[in-house]
Order: sequence, then C-alpha cells, then structure tokens
Amino acid sequence: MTAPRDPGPRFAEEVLGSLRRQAVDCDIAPRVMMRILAERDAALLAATARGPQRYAWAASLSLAGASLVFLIATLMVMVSGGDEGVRQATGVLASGWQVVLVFGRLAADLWGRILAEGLPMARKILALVEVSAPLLKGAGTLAAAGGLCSILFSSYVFASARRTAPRADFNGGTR
Amino acid sequence: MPGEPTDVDLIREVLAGRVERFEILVRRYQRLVATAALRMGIPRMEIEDVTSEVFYKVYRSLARYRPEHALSTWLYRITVNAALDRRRSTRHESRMEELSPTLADGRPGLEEQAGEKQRARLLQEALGRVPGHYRAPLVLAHIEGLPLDEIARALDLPEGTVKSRLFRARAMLKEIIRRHYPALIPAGSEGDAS
Repeated sequence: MTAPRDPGPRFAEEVLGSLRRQAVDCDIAPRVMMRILAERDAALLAATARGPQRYAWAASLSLAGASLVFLIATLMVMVSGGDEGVRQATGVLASGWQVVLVFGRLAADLWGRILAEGLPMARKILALVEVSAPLLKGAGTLAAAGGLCSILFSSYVFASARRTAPRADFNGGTR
Repeated sequence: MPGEPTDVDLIREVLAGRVERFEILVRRYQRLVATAALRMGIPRMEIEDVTSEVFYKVYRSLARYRPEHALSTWLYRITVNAALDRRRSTRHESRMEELSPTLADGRPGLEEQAGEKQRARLLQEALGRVPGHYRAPLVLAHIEGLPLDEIARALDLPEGTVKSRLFRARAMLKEIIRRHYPALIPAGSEGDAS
C-alpha cells in the first residue's frame, strides 16, 4: 500500500484517542505463579535427585576399583608366597597351553595334507572338464533340440486329439 | 504508594530466590500488558494466554533486566513481540473480534456506550489492517502515549526508524479509514481526508 503523506500526530490522536479508554481487567497472577512454582519445584526435585545419583555412581566406581586392586594384590601375594593353589593353577594353564599347541599343530598338518592331495586331483578334474567341454556342449545342444521336438510333437498330438474327440451337446449326449 | 517495594527491589528479591515475590510484579503490570496486547490486535479470548506468556518470558529472562530503564518499557517490548509472533503464527489479521472494553472512567450512557463500542470495534479493525511493524509504533505512541525514546527502546529500533514508521503508519491508517471506514474520519479533517 502506498501512503501519500503523513496526516500528522493530531489526526492519529483524534482517531485513536477513544481507544485509550479501553482496558482489560484480568487476573492471570495465580496461573503464572503456578507455572513458575511448578517449574521451580521440578528443578529442585531434579537437583535433589541428581545428588544421590552422582554419589551412587562414585561409590560404584570406587568399589569396582578397590575390588580390582584387592584381587591383583591377593594374586601377587599368592604368587610371591609360593601358594600351592597358584602353582596348580599355573600348571593347569601350562598344560592347557601345551594341549592347545598340540591340537593346533595337528590341525595344521591335516589341512596341509588335504591341500597337498586335493590340489592335484582338482587340477586333473579341471583338465578333464576342459577336454570334454566341446562334447558336453554338443550333448547339451542335442538334448535341447530333442526337448523342442518333443514339445512340438506333443502339441501336434494334442491338436489332433481335439479335432477327432467326440463333442458333448447341451442335452448331455455326444455328437 | 509509600512502603511498597519498587520494581527493582522486587526483581532483586526474585533473583535472590524469593520467587513468590514475582506475583506482586504480575499483579502490578497485568492490566498494562493485557491492554497493550488487546491494542496490538490480540483477540480478547487469547489475551489471558498472551499475558501469562509475556510474564513467563519476563520471569525466565529476569536476570537480563537493566534497571536503568523502566520495567514497563521492557514489558511493552515483550508484549509487542509476543503479539506480533502470535498474529504471525495464527494469521488472523483479517479476523478481528468484537471488543468489549472495560471503561475505566467517565462511563457514558447505554446508547453512547454502544456507539463507542461500535466505534472502538471499527477502529480496532482499521488498526488491524495496518501491518504489524507499523502498528506497533502507532499503538505505543498514540494509544499508550509513550515518548519517542521509550518507543525506540521498546521496539529496539533507532529513533529515526521509529519516526519514519510512525509517519508511514499514520498515512496508512488515514488511507485505510478513508477507503473502508469513512465514519471514523474526525469531524475537523473530513475535507482533508477525502
């Protein structure tokens, strides 16, 4: 909208002056305060709930750390003191390691043998397939041609059968 | 009134943790905010929502209040912004509701009151046709009666911009009244308006 020129403040005062007497009476204080206090209570609740949570975390972590230190210290004392249980455990671990080593070696031998004997055999099969490839291709073509002929023959037989078959009329008889 | 705490005192108390003291501020200024919202074109049924929203915003940003300026200026600013946001979001520029103003003083007779009501409704409609950014300085200057520097502070605009918007807003209002509400043309300026 284009405004040609300012009519001046007097015009606006005269026109809008009556709106000055308008006033709105409302009481929104309880509503506002309820919202503000609810927010403050929620914040306080969250703050008070956050304290114990933080302490619980700190206590759990400290306990975990202390348990770990205690375990390591106990083990060290047992090892340095030549404890029978530690010796047995070390023996079990050492024999377990030996067993793992033996089994690993056996598995490696087996795999090597399989490869050593299987590879020449695979090479021979591949050579055989290469040699017989033209023969196989011919046989495949022959089989496909035979299949096609069979389909054509079946179609012919089916068509002839339809031509010569007796027809049923609407009264239940045959013609 | 002597003995009553000042706005600044109350704000300090609220910031110090005595949240319940904010209620005094709300009671002190709720009429000003609600009336300004109405004058900015907020429908009466939404006035309470807008007013409480304004006070809630005030509470949330109370720490940013600068005591060298009047609290009312800050309230006008938040109210104008809230009203503009509201109108932008609800897009009811064209839908103006009937106003039933509570007349504070000089209560006229029934007929006069009805005539005045009708006139106020038409005026509000005419004001509603002025775009929000021009309507705000118009309302603050000619209805709220704020001086130019306070309007500039309330709208966060340089005084020069406020002046030019005022010129343009008055011209727009005059054109709107001339075209759509000829009954509102003041008796003295009828010839000028046409």
